[in-house]
Amino acid sequence: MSAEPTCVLELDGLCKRYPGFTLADVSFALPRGYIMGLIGPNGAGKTTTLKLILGLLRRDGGTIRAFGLDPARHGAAVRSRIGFVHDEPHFYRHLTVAANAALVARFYRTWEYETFQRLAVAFELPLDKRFGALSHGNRTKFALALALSHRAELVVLDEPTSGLDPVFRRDLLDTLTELLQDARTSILFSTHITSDLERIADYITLIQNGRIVFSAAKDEILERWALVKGGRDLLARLPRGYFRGIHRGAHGFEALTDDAAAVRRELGDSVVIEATTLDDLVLYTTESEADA
Amino acid sequence: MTANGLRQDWLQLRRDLILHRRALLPAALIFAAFQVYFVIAIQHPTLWLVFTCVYLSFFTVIPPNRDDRFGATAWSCTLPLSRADVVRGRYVTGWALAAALFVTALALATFVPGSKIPPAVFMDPDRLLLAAAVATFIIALLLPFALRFGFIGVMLVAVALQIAAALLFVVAKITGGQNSVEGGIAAAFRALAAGVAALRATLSVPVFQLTLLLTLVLVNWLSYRFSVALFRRRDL
Amino acid sequence: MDYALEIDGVGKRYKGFALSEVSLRLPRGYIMGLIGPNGAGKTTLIKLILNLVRRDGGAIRVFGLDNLADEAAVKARIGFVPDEPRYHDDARLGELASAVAPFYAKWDEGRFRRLAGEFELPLEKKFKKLSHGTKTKFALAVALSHGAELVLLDEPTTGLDPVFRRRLLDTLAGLLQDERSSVLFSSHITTDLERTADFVTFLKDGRVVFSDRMDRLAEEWAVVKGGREMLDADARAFLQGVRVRPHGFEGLTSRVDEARQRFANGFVIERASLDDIMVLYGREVANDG
Repeated sequence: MSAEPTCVLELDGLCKRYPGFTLADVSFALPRGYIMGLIGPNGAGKTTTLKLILGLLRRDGGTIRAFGLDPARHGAAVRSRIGFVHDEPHFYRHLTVAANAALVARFYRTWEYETFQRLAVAFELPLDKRFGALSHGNRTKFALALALSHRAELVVLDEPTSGLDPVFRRDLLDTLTELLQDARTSILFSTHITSDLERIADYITLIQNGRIVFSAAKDEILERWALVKGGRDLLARLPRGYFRGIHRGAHGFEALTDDAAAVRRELGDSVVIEATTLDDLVLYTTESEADA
Repeated sequence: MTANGLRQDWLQLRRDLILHRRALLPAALIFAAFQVYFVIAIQHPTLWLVFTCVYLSFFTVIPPNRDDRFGATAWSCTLPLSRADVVRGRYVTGWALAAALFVTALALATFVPGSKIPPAVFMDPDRLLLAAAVATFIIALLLPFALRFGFIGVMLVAVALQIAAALLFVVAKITGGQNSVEGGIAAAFRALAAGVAALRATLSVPVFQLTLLLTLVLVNWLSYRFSVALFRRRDL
Repeated sequence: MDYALEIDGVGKRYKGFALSEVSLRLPRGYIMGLIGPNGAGKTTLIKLILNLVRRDGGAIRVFGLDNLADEAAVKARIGFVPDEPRYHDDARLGELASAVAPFYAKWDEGRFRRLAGEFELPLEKKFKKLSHGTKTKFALAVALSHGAELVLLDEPTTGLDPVFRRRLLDTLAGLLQDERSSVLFSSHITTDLERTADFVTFLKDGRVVFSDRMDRLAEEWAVVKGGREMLDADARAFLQGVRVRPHGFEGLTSRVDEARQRFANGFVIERASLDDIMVLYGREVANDG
């Protein structure tokens, strides 16, 4: 068998069709040992993409390689190396935390009981409490502890932090960053709370309407993309498609460009150029050119 | 009893009818269907009256119980109403429902062929007062607890009544000896009826009826004040 | 000074938790954010304003009216969006709205229809079939359709995507253009608050840590960072919260000027974001990580 691929995840031209929605031509790669954030509005296709990676859905086209394997053909092998955390963990409410953990442990050959114990202590999880009696935050922590206790090489998180306070979120981010120190674990993190990603992500992938808008290194994105503000008459003189997303106001416009340097060169002082946040990127690319 | 208060009561009744009709209508249909059977099968009009009033009194807790089930009681308390206003609205809606069902029962008793209930029953003030008394007894007990404790409150009252009935049996057995449990209870009811009849004879009939009516109103009012006191304490 | 909301020494006791001596003031025409960890008492405080729970002491005045003595009058002027909107599952949205509209003297049906259109509310659908986000949007549409001068929102942005979150915040900011309306909302997403709020109140363990103008926070609170070995007992005593990470420590102070003098060499002192304040305040040093 050849050496382990350097990318823990490779998607190429992935497609999935539903009656009202289509995921098309989704391609991105996550190198081993890094964190990728997945952003986009509700319904854009984030959860669908994650389910395809986990082999929980059948794709209609394109390829996926997770650890060099195809999740459609080697679903169990792929899933045994992935730790999945999402915001409605389904465990048995009437069983204790410890009992639930024991049930999950049986699915993984690589389960490490000491690791789970250590994490339970670090997360202050009440092992003897019924799962149904746990607070929302504790349920998420439990799901995370499980995900990290079987030596998963890829940790996938789908909106794990909505409704959780900044204190816990910060701890979660620190825990995730520490995970990467062994250069073996990678993280794919889908969330609406983009400030968290700005803190720790290495790569960002933005999905809109089933298509990838960009997938690149975070620093590069925040350098290349910028918010441009100017007067309406200026906007009228520019060709259609010059900007990637336009918001017209009463006296001027705010628009997004993916080439800040070019705009600076071409428009110079006639516009104000500001740094974007990831939130702005999701926002402005949502509003289509048509209704701008 | 202000004009604004009346308007609020009407709005609350309207709201309850809009939001609870999907539960109330089927329940009312079952009630009506049962009445069709009942008015033919029953022998004694007074018994029919009492049983019917017990049945329809439980409708008064359907709106507050459903609100609790959906977690919507808090919503009522965010409307421009005080806690007392909300409680008053429950009583108004409750009695309106009871009255509507009573009229329905009367109509069925009158028009269902083979009905054993003569129309004279409804012309009789004594029987109407009995109906009101039965309804008052149940509603005045149920609503405070339903409002304070939700569905559990209704269960509490039901259990309490059963415990009271059981105690009554035990007491009657102890005081009356082996075979006179039923005898003891029947004797108690006879004593009650005799007392009421004596009262009725002492006062003139209209005075007695008026006094009884006012007493019922007083009981309802006391129940209302009690409900307000309990509901004000409720954290939502 | 015209206050939309005045809370004075309010308390509420539960088993295992108590809100005590909570005071804050929100002037008319401004937005106040309410932050604090889970369980700090934010929801309880908002419920106390609406008398959804009984207070154990103190006073609450809305537009100068006592919230208990003038309960109905006060509630006519308040719009409320709860963190978990709960209405009758089998009722259609349109029915829910029409059931309560007449209670409000200032109900504006046209505005409600417009908001319902803007938020894409499926008025014919039954409540139980909606997502959390849509339920919140419905509660918001109702809250904004009866001329409310004080809008209270409890965690309104949880579960909303950035697009609608931004729209919500813009809507709230837009409310203030008449200079009479005020907003109080609690949120975990501190960047939203930094963007929109004029005032911030930080609740922790049932007490107010601070309640102040946003711009003043920037002047007074800072984060001190340095190597682990530089964190001595003196420093710990001075700082109001410390986190030790493998690569160094982060400490919180509300006395920036003093801090600059004390931590002169080898330390980095930065303005504290709301997030930093929330994460670091009161944090004890055990060896994290």
